[in-house]
Amino acid sequence: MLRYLRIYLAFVRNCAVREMEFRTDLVLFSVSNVLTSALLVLMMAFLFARTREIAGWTAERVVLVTGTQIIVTAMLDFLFFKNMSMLSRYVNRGELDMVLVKPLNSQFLVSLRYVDFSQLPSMVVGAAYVIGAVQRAGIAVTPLSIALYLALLGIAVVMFYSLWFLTVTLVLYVGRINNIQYLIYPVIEQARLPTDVFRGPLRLAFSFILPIAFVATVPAKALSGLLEPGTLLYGLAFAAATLGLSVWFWNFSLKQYSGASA
Amino acid sequence: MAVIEAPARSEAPAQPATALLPPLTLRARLRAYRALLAASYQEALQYRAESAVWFTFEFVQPLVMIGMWLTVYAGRQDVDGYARPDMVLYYLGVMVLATLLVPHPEWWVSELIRTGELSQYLIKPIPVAAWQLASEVAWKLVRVLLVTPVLVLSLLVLGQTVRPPALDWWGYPLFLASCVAGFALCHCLKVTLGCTAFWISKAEGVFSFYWLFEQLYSGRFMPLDLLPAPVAALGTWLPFQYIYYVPLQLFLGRLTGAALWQALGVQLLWLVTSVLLVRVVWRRGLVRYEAMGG
Repeated sequence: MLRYLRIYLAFVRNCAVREMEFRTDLVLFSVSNVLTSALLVLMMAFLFARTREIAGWTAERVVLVTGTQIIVTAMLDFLFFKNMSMLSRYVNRGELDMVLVKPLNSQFLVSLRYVDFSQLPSMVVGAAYVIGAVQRAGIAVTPLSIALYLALLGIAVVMFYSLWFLTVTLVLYVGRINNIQYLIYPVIEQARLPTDVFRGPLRLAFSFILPIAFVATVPAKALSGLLEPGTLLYGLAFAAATLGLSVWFWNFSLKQYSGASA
Repeated sequence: MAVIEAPARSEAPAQPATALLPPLTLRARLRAYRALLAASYQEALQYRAESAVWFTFEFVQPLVMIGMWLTVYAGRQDVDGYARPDMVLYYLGVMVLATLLVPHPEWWVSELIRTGELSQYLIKPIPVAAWQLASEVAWKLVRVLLVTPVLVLSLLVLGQTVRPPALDWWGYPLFLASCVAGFALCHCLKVTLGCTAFWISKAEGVFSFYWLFEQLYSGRFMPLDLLPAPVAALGTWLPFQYIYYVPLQLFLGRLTGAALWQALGVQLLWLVTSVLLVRVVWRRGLVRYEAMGG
């Protein structure tokens, strides 16, 4: 465990050194990421300015959800985007074998080898929106609600990393496909709206089956002190289950995989 | 920067093919274009899995937005002139038109320039623009196969919340013409965007600024006439709403009389401007490209 932590820190350091060699790119992509995040919140404000409120959510409170969604997606992108892209590239180019022979857990290596620093500024933007929304909407936060909020962000990251990794693992079966790492985005993008604005089967799906509610709606509610213990338990169980499934599916798929270069 | 291998190119820089070969007859040219389109379609079919993944970017959001608006309409009849069926039809229209009218040649173009593969295409007797267009049209033909079942299913599920648009018979050909113009406009804008790779090594950075505006002003997220007035006013000076928002408004019967003709006139103007723009940028870029290779 300690060994893996040391290796991970070495990965991060290595990526940081690399980024410093391409500083202009880092600045360019950071700026574009920040602008995209800012625009997202603006669009929500426009939408809710027109509809006033939807299912009890006003423009002010929606920023809490959208800001949280920005934090979680930026976090996921920071930790995993490059890795998921590289994984599908390894398979497309037949280079996965080179990864598998390394004396490390293969899922650890393919999932965490790279970090993308251009995502960090977006995280700050998301946090700023959340803090601003808390103050403007006059939400009384407590140490407990903040702790629950942060824990739920962690649950969301684990849950959606697992779902992401599950989808990208499919590349081992499909072989030639170069964009499967993007499949998660249209789904997680929808989490910027509070899931309460949906009704019927869509709401059910977003709460339980493909629970994008856990990306932003549930943490935002927890911050306002409206979290139900059952929801928290369901989130924990779902995150653990998807993580377990991703480990099982990865190992199962590797056994099926015949390689490309052999 | 660009690796250039073909020695013939330095001898005949601007249009090498015409210098090396006799001009094609019209018949031969038509045959060549038909073969090109057929080959591009075959190639696009090879990439159907990729196409399906990109398609999720186009159909998920409009359908989810319909879900949100249905909640809004549970409590009221009308949102600034949009009744419930109008709104549902609007997002179904966004789903279909954003899929079919927005090509993505910027990636291919910038990649060709960056890797120097462009040289291969420059020495062929068919203009590069034809390759680009054929490839984009072919990808859209595959998208037709993908969007049709999703549209049919959505119509079945949404059932009584949809009603056909109140459009005169002459509205339909006009709508189709406006769609073709929107596709051509978008294609030219995006080829221009891809051409920035002649000057910049990381063209994706520029793309993301384009997408920023496109996200808001294409009408993908919400109808532009529901935006706050000053924000919407800025949009009328940009080309993005002439890609599929204007055709869609026409289809919904929300553009009539003088406003209709004005919108179509501006669309045509943008189309002409974008064609001129892409020609200028392409020519200047080619000079630059050759300077780099030679």
